[in-house]
Amino acid sequence: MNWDLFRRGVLDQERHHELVREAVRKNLKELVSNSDLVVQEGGRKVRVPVRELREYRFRFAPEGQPQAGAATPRPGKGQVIGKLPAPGQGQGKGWGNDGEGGTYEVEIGVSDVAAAVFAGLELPNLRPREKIPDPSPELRVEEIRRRGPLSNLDKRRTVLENIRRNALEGDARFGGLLEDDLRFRVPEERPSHQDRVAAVFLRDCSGSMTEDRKYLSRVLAFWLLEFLRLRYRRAVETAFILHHTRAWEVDREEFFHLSEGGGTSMTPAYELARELVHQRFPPHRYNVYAFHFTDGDASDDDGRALTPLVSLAEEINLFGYADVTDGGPFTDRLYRLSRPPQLTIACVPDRSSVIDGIRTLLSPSGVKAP
Amino acid sequence: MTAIRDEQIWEAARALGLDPWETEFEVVPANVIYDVAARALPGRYSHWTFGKSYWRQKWSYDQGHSRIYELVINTRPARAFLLEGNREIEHLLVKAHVLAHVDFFRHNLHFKDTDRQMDVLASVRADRIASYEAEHGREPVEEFLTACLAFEWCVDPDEPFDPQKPAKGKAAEREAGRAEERGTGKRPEPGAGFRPTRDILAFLLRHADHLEDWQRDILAVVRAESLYFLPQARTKIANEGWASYWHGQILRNLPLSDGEYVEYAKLNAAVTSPHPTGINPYHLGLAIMRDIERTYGKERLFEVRCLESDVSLIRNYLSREVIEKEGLFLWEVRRDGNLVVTESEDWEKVRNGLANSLANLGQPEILVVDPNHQGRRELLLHHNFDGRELHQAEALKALQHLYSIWQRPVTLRTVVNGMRTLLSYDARGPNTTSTGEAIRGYDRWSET
Repeated sequence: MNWDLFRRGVLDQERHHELVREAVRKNLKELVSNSDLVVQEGGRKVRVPVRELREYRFRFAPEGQPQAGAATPRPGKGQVIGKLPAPGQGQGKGWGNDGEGGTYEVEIGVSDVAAAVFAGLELPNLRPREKIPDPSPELRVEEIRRRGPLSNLDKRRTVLENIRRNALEGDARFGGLLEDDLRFRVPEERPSHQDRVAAVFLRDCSGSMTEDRKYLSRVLAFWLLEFLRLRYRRAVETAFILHHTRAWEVDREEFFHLSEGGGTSMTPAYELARELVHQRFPPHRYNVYAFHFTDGDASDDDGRALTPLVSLAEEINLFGYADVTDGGPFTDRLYRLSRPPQLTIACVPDRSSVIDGIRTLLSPSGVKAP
Repeated sequence: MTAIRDEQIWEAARALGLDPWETEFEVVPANVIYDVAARALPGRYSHWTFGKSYWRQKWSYDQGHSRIYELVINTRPARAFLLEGNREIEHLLVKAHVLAHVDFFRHNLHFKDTDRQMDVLASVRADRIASYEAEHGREPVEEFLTACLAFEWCVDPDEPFDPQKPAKGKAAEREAGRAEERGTGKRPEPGAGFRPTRDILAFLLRHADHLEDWQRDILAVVRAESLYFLPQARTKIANEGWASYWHGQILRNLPLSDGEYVEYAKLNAAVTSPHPTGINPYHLGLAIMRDIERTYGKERLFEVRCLESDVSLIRNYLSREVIEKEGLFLWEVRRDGNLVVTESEDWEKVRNGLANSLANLGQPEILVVDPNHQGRRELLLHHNFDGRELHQAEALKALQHLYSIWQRPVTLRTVVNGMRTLLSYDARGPNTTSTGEAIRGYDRWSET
């Protein structure tokens, strides 16, 4: 028999997935803040770990139900041979003991998730600003990415990357080119009309930024970007800045993963952000949104940082400052400040605060106390 | 690899006393095998639950976790599927194993009433169900199927239900309605002599008069297929033990090289390894079969193959030697989530515990006891409590499914936290009421 065209299993699987997606949509809040979202590179689908749909029937409760097992040597009466994962904790990739309710990953369109999450979010200041009509509609912007066609290879950046990597290994010169060094200019479709949107992300990568805090930054940045894409229904240009006592521009990968160390100073970060915005996303042409993820643990004399911060905030649509702990000295300072409405502050100390944090950041008049 | 022809495998099997009937082997790609495995019958209707099984198997396979070694269908001719890409030695093991399974299907009395053309029937039914989807929409059909499948194992092969009798359909309802209007008759009631039954599907078929014909058909299909699969579910350990025992014997009688034999041994070990928190039917079944041969001789093995189900196999033949050699024990989940050993030294308790856990396919025994509860055509069910409480949240969901079919309130008497409790579902949703009556030990339904 010719099985080449046999697709029944896949079709049935689709049915299951559809139902799962429905269930997911109903439980998005929890999903957004508690799951490790896995975004496929360059894709518009998110892989979300979900529990399988259960088939309900009359069953015995697991407690108090004698079951058999086999092991040599045989364990003795009263011995503990295992433990069920606590309710709420994922079981990781694998199947539940009773054969049902395991977790696996399902693909859902990111916009579906974002739409569900942000349904009903009132954001008055996201109306596009008056823009000067673009005189050169053919102008195309280029993002720097790690993948792309060879014809778009940015040789200068590639060489710089390579030298930088070699320098880290103690030998600052060009040689031993790896795929990781390659940088490509990837052109983005640009609407000739106004209404361009740009998002600038700043992240504190000082020694005090733990894995958890990086994770929260990642989740927040992901959803904020997604919201902007959804709201403006177009590609959002991005720029990423890392800082500790210095600030420098990075690409998306590094932004999400790099750890550095050292102390923290906000001033260089805000100054660089401001400069970058002026050069690349002039506010009279762009709707600019900037977000800063930090633990608020800057040294005291960072009163200087307030100036570039406030100036920048006043020039753009929104500057969202997110403290991924429950407060820090710099954060406290900001709270006491008499702020322009575009500068929003939120504390997002843990995963369950992510959704509320996003809402606060995106609400110019709102301020959430820790 | 020594080229072994299929005839040689058949010959070896027959020489050892096995008597399978015609079996067709097909080599198929992974997605096919996992689909058939998910549905248990090739060509069966579509449902998301099969999709879930398919996904799970394939995911496991893609992760390199498990490869289904054997898949054989109880039909005549029997159909067996081999996984494309498996090695020759794996195919050989599967074929030998399958032939023993077919012998079991042929000779075990629990299978005697199964329809050996079930694959064809399943296909025909699938087409019919697909036509219902086309006519009434996929969602209503799928939802109804989901509700029916919740009671998949609530069937009784001994239930005197004749599916050939014309069902009381809408016509009867209208007739009764007119009778009521004329003031001459009562609503058709299932009579004062209602006999409580475990077969919820048969009950619904008989008494759920308001169902559309397509719904009635789906109910009947689910029931018929469940009855078909029931013997397989009841003889899993015996059948796998039987097949594992014989595939070893068959391979020993084939001209394999030493290297090939070693490969086989490794494969065999992987399939028949014990599991600390469950029973591997291959492992336990094989141990029991070997023990029977050792204790009673080969003749008895063939008797066992004819007569026993898992429960009776365990009760009659799971000996102290096997329990101790294989390290069998009983365990339970405690409220704190710990899995704790409850019986280990006392082999009889271990044996009885295992047999009890297999009784009724490991399902709670739920009876429909009154189809006209409170005189309002409400359904009353009773859980024959034996010390094991139900999963409450799931029971309420199951009742919701039942409500969606019966369309009138449904109530289940059970025991929760040692108290008689009524779980119910009606138009307002689920409800739990404790009667305050303490229940200890057993609580079987009795006519009072």
